[in-house]
Amino acid sequence: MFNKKAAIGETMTWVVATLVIVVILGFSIFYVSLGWNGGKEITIKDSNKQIRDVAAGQTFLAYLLSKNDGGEMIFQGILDTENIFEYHKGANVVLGKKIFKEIYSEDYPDLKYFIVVEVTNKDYLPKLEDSLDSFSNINPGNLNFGTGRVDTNYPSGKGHFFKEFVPFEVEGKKMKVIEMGMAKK
Amino acid sequence: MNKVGTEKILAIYWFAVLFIVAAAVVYMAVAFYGKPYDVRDIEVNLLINQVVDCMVDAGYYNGKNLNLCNLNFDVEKFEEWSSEKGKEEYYVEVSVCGFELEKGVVGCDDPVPIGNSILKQDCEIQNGGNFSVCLEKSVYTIEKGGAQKIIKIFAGVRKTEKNVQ
Repeated sequence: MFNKKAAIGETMTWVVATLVIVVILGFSIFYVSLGWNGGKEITIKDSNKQIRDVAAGQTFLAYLLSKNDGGEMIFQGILDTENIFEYHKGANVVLGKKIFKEIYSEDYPDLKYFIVVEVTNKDYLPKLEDSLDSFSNINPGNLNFGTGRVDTNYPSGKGHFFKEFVPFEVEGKKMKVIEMGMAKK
Repeated sequence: MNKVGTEKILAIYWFAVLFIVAAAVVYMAVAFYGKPYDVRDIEVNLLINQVVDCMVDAGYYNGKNLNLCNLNFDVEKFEEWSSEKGKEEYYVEVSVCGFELEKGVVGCDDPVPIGNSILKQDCEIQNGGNFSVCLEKSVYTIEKGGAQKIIKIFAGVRKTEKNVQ
């Protein structure tokens, strides 16, 4: 006579095991075919190969080449000033805020930038490195200044980074922006 | 207890479980890898970059019209895709506006379109998925004389047959 209780216990074990397997597989299939709607994304992690935001880059450059209320080119003012943060506290930042609020408030709600400039002719000007400014929230009452360099991965891998950008001329001095970075929030 | 019978039933059970697991793995692999990569977001960004590069030189607006940018939409042959005028898989529209510090964007010119304008209507229904992928970007730029401009660029890519399943 065989042991009925033992047979029932063994059968229950297999039934439960089967159910667990089926549930796990069912969930996986559901996740892949129905619940998983993220699509296959392509991300370019190499900062040198990522898709540049040329529109934002040219906008930023045009802003630097624009003139402030005093008729001085904003970029020239940045080069001449000893304290870039003080320079941007004044009226010079109004145009920048207007431009970026008008155009990039969605893409760059917390815009930070840095520029590295190299003067390419003999009239040497001090190299401007790691100049950083922030149009935080593009709100005049909420202007914050950061320090340090904009990392291409700052703050969440959505930074845009430009290298060997474009040569241009400011009042006879040939220069080229060799690095420029903008970070999305 | 009939051990031989039990072992046979267990063997059948094991084969059944093995088959179910293998079938599920194959199904998931096909479901995942069978989906195409949707690269239209990248394409539409590159298209806009191309237009910006054409119309803006180092921050300055060069006055070029979109028609002078020599955009070539005949780049791929796939299924029923056509490069005939009005049937392209791409669409670009550009309008040049003024910009004033107090008023912002003012006085836009009539938009200059190139490509298949149906894509714009497509995107008004739904952007992406089984419809076209569209993107609109604006560029602030200045003329040599100092006049400030905003160039509004709208671009769309269809190519659903290749990017969407």
